[in-house]
Amino acid sequence: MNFKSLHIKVSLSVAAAALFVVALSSHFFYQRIYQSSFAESERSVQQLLETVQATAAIAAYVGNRELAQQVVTGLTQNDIVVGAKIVVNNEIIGTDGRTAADAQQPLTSIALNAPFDENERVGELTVVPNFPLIVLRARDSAIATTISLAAQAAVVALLVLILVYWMMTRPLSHLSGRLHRITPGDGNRLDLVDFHRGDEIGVLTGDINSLLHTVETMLEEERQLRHRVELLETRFRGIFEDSSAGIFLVREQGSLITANPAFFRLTAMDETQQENIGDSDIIARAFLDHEQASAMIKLSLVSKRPHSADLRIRTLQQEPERWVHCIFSSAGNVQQGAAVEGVMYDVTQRKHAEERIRELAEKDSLTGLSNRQAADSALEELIRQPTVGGKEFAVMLIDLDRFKYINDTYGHDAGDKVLITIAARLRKLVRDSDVVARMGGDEFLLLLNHAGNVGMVQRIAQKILDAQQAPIEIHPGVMEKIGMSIGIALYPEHGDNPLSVRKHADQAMYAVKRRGKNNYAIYTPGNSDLPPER
Amino acid sequence: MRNLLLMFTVLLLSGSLRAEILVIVNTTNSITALEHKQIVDLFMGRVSAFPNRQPARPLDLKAGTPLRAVFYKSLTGKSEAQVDAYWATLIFAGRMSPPEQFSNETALIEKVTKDPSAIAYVTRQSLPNGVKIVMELPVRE
Repeated sequence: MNFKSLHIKVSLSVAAAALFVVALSSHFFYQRIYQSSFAESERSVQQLLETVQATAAIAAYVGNRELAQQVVTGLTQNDIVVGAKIVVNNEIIGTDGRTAADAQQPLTSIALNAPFDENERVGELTVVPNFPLIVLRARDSAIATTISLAAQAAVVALLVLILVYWMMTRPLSHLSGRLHRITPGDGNRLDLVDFHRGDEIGVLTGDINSLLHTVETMLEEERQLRHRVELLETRFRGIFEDSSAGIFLVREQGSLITANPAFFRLTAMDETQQENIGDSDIIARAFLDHEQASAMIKLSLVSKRPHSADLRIRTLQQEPERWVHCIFSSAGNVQQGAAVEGVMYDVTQRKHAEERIRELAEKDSLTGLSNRQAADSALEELIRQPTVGGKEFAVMLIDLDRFKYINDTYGHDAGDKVLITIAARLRKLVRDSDVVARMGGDEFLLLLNHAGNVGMVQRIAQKILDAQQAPIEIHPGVMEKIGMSIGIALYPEHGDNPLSVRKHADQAMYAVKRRGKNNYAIYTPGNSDLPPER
Repeated sequence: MRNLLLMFTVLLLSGSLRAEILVIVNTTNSITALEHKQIVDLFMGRVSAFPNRQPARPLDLKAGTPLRAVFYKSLTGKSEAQVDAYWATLIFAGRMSPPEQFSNETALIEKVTKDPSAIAYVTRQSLPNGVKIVMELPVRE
């Protein structure tokens, strides 16, 4: 038995209430009925006395014992009287049944007046009421009333119970059972009994049905929405996963939020260890140029605009250098702060191609030195470049002596060999930061950085001349010594623009040539024909 | 004196104007006057002797005589039927009997003159020797 069932609860409540009412009213009515029944019995005794009063008065008036005896005998015939007597002037003129002495209970008396003079009292009629009988009757009457009351209450309670069960509890539990079996979305509805149309149960049923409808509509909408989102997500995930470009999301501090497989492929990181990467700086791990990358991340966050650059990424040790083009853009705020979205794709091949093109454009193909164009732009760059703490350099123009003779005598291959050997020597004699270029034919140009000191420049020039003392094997078994004429101009001392510096170096070189070659000279302003320094 | 006489006359006249019933006894009876209550007790059978302990014998008129009803009405306030019922109750119990009944006042007066214990009632009239009035009962309507 389910004690939590509504019907049991209602039943128990009604039963308890009925019991309470019965107990309370029984107590009350028992008292009331008992008292009224008792009073009625007493009234009956009184009425009995009044009935015989006239006769008793006559008997008392004339002192007739026979009549008095008739009266008291008549009285004791009644159930509720067990004894009676008529007293006249303290003398008993008639008595029957029990006397007051052995009754020991309240007596009922009535005064007897003279039949012809209401004011004259002639005697007294006293009866002994049947008290036990009166009490018994009163009790019986009270008990009967109480029992009928209890029975009534029980019947009413039972009726209430049945009606409540029939009209409320049963429909409610039916409703509850039906609702319990319904799963929102299965399209089932509660059925409405005609009897309850319009009452609270009917309204409840209707409301639940409309609620079910609303819930189902919402569920359906939600389902469709989820389906669309899933579709979109699949598409975007496909794009994200299959993209050849590495796509990644990082926090401002450089910790990885998410990245696609291409990112891990490009950066040669293990995707399965993504969790382990955690909060560590993925930028520092992925990029060789990580300082630049970090700066761009901050820049894109501040400016809210995308920033892109070619950056080198870290590779495994045996692999060659790899380049990616990387675009950083602010991705708004995610949990735990600002995020930046990065897209990178491999540009190593393009970089290499560019490198080759630049080399082709700037290098002299024979000697590997810079060509004329590269030398010109390097010179312009040196002058344009804002350098802190004194910007001085020397321009050295070199022309080989006897090159035409070697070329004509031994052929172009010999000439090329001379050029290659000289180029290598020149390159070796100056610093890496200095520019060594072949200007065409047998003419070379040197740009010596931070060479403002005339003495230093002279020492370098002498070193170069000295290096040419070593003969060059231009043909198997044929050794030749090649001399050279060196003209030097200093910037900014001998010219403040590329053209004038070049021209003055040129003038100095021709002066050397005129004076007998294989020497160097520093430009002297105002004198194009310099005496030899030696 | 004349005034007193006049007053007596007026009283007498008013008395004669108002009907009165006379209660009479034998002249030999030592009783000179009886009270209302004593007459009730005698006629209703409560006592059977005069206050001077001489036995008393009340005499009644026959039932249906107009004076009888007037007498009992005036004496006890009860109707003739009520008085008869009263007597019926006592007769039924036994040992009691109502007063002896006579057919008219003349017979009553004659009996009183002969019987010293008799007592009876008559209308106001000139009475013969041998009877005397012990009470004049005013008629109650």
